[in-house]
Amino acid sequence: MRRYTGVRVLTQIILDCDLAVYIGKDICKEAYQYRQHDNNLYLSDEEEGLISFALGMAIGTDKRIFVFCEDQYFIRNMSEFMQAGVSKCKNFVVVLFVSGGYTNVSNTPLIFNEVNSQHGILYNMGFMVHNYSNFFKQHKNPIKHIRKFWARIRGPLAVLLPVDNRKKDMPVVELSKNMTATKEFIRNKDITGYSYVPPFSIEELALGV
Amino acid sequence: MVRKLWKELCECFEYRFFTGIPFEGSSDLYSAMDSEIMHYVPAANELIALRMASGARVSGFKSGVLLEPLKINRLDMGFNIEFEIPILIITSVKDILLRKGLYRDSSLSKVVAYIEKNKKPGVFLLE
Repeated sequence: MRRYTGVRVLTQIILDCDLAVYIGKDICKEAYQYRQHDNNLYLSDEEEGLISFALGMAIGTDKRIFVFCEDQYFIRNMSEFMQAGVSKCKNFVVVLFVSGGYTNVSNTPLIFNEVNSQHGILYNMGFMVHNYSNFFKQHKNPIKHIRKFWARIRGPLAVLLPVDNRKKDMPVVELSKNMTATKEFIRNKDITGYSYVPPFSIEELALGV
Repeated sequence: MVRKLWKELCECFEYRFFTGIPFEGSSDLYSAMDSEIMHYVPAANELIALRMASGARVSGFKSGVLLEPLKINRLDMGFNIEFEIPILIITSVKDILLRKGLYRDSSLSKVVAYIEKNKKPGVFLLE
């Protein structure tokens, strides 16, 4: 499966009450083509600490946070994933596109495919792990099936989706770096989360309940 | 004294979420934490602490980070400045060699007023 197909399929499953965070220039461009909504946050710079940023948002809200990133980001920022795993944050989901290479630099190889157990690493960090290696080959309508799974998932969840290195030339877009829409969306109490209770009840704490 | 500081920070200024890394001189701060009025998450490193607090702030909760003075200089605050995410950084005044351009004061009310007005990180120097 090509990565942009994975992005297209999985972004369709995200509900209007969920927040999707896209990390990486290419993933942002692909996601922008398929889904434009207030609950999308494009972080194209790939700087460090973005998983922790998404985790912080997940801690403070009952909306589900879906983070989309590549395996190269995982390799470089493993301590962040560990922090997310041990947080037991039930509304935090990370989707890892496993290509085994640096797709942005001539597909030069990455060590992630050499580890003994990719899902074992994530599981031991504290994540529940879904591995969709053969899923798309076995199901004719994967969107329907994944939508069914994702309606009941509990985080912290890591979804491993193997993709190949082929890229599609996406039109150049000026991705908005305005956080205002995200802030408004995440603080909007009228949009309720998907029947999830945040792991840390900060809101109750703030109200003194 | 430190207990009073937490009370002022959490109840008067409504800062509820804290994270950070323990540093020399912070043991009093940690021992005076009260889970009834605040929430603290230990972080794996300084950048994770800063970003996690930033995320909580975006969700609508005022957040603070406890960091060692020298580690603050190595942190990239560009993300917070670009996206206008105010964060309160608490550090000890000992051996303070903070870089230029980062607002700092030993008055809590001044630092809080600055960061809320300018939407930038500010450093509270713990005496």
